[in-house]
Amino acid sequence: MTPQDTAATPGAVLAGRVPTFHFDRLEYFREEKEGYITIRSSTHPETNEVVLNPTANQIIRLCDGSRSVAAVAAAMKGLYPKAPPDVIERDINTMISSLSRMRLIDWDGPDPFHNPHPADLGFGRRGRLASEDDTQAIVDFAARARKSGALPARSPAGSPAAAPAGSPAPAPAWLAFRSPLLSPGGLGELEVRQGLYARLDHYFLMTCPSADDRAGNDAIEGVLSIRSPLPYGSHLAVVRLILLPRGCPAAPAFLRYAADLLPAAAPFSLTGVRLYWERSAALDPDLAALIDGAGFAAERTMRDEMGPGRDLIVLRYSLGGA
Amino acid sequence: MGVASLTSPGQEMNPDTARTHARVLRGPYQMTLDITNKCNLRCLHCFNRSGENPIVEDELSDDEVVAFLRDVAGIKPFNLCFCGGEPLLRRELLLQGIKILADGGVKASTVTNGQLMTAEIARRMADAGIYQVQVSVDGATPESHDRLRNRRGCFAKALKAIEHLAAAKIKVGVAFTPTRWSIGEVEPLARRLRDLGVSAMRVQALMVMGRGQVYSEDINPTAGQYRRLVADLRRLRNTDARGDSFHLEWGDPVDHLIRFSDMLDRCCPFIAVRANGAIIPSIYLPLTVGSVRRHAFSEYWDAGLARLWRLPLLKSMAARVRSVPEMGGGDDGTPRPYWERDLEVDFIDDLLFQEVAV
Repeated sequence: MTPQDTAATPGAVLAGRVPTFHFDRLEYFREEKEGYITIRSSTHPETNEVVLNPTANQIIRLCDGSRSVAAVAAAMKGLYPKAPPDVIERDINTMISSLSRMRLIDWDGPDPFHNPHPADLGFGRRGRLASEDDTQAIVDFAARARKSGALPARSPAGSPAAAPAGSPAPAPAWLAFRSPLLSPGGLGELEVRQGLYARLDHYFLMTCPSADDRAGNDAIEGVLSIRSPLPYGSHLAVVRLILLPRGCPAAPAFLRYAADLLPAAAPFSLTGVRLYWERSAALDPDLAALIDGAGFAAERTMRDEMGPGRDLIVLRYSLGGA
Repeated sequence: MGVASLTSPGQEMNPDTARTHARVLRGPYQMTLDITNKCNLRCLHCFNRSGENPIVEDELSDDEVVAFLRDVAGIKPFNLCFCGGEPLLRRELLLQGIKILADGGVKASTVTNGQLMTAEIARRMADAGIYQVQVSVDGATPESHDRLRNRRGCFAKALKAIEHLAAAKIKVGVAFTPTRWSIGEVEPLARRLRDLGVSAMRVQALMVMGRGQVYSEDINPTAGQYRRLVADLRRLRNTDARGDSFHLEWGDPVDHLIRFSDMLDRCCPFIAVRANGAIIPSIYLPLTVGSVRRHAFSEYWDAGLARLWRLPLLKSMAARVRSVPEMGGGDDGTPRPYWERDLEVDFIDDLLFQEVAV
């Protein structure tokens, strides 16, 4: 993955790039009245019918692989000489962004809308947002963590790795949290890829440049996975997985980074993030302090939600201004 | 130049955008047609009393169904599901209808109890262009399924139907209605269906209406049983994902009444049609708003049917059903669905389109 310049404006990044809209990836296409169309993508099943107005309809027909975004804008300016040029450019960029996220537009090179938003977290760590091509790196990281006891196959959700009964209990090397409500699965390749591909799960990665792997990429040192809202009409995402090395000084900055980036990264409007924690599964005190410090506040307790005597505690982080 | 926009009608949206959609959409996206309410079974839980309801003696003729489907193919919804009754009782019409829709670019699906399915019919369905068939299987054992279906031997035929459909390379889903005696069988049933090549299993609460209301005390699971079922489904989804395409769904029959009435009333992309041609906003409400015998369906749509859920009458009827136990109705002076005749109004002839235009 090539980190991109986050300071560049979308328009500047896009102007010279050549988009191709793929009508062959439409599961459904209907010409409506007054120049509108309805489409349904076969490559993004989470999105159902989408209506494009006549202007959007014109734009996708210009995205035929023969012209750059700048040339598409020029053509539209020619068709609408009275429209403000900056409005035309903004509309085109917005449109193309949405369709690109739905995998209906391909590019003459890397997808410019998947920006990993790299950021310096301090203490020699960096944060970035994962994409499909990080799948194997995430799977390998999870396998390493599992091997060292952070993600035992059947440990209670939300708990750190349990030491065998009767043995001294050394502090685990990892702070590990898995949502008791969402399938943690095995963090296998298929599950990770599907979550990334569908923009269902957002993986925020903490990396350590000093621990380069053989491929020359930053080694993953920590993962925070957040799942998009599933119930219809919900605007609350859910923390699915936290896996961080214990005592990492960059961990608080990593959580802040993820919270700042989430509203932009998610293809839905979000108002907050929930973290569900089963009270009977002891939460590692260091992890509890980290979550508390990040700004999660107690929302409510759902008594016996997970079974007799197994209460579910709901914490909530509000995304300001969303 | 107008602002380029990209919006999803299935989502709640601002009123102006929804109003625009209602004006420009050529038709709904999702439709159902009861191709017949006649049935070869008398299942204890049947919500619309198939075979016995007031509609069975007044069904559309073959010619009327074909004319309706040609009209629908012209407006090209995403999907139309042939429901029932047992659709295979009108086998040739069903096959003809599937072809009309498929040729028009509409995904045609159907439901069946599987009793009349053969390898030959499955092959003909595939040839006609069927998109998906949903077979009802209501237990993991013959005893469970057949007890609800009210006839011995149904279970084996339902599973055989799935085999025929899978062999014809048709996408197969299964509907499972849990009962007091079968609710613990979801796991073995899911495993068996997966092995048979079923792609999705929809589990939905038993609807307390029609025959399901009559036999409710005998068959309806308890609240505690439902709670354990949901836990089972969650556990199955969490632990049994093999990475294949099997989809396990916990359906909610009431959800759409709230969603359409409260969120999508300015543009609702779903419409159902009864076996007698009555146009209905929901298969669970005793209200018809038109008939394809009086006007073509496309005429109703062009008159503003997308804004149907703005009707105060419809909103008040939907507001009475906010939970599964309330589905049977009849306690408040409105007709009991599928026992008594629906309230009948006509969106065009009664000028109802004027009520929803504002």
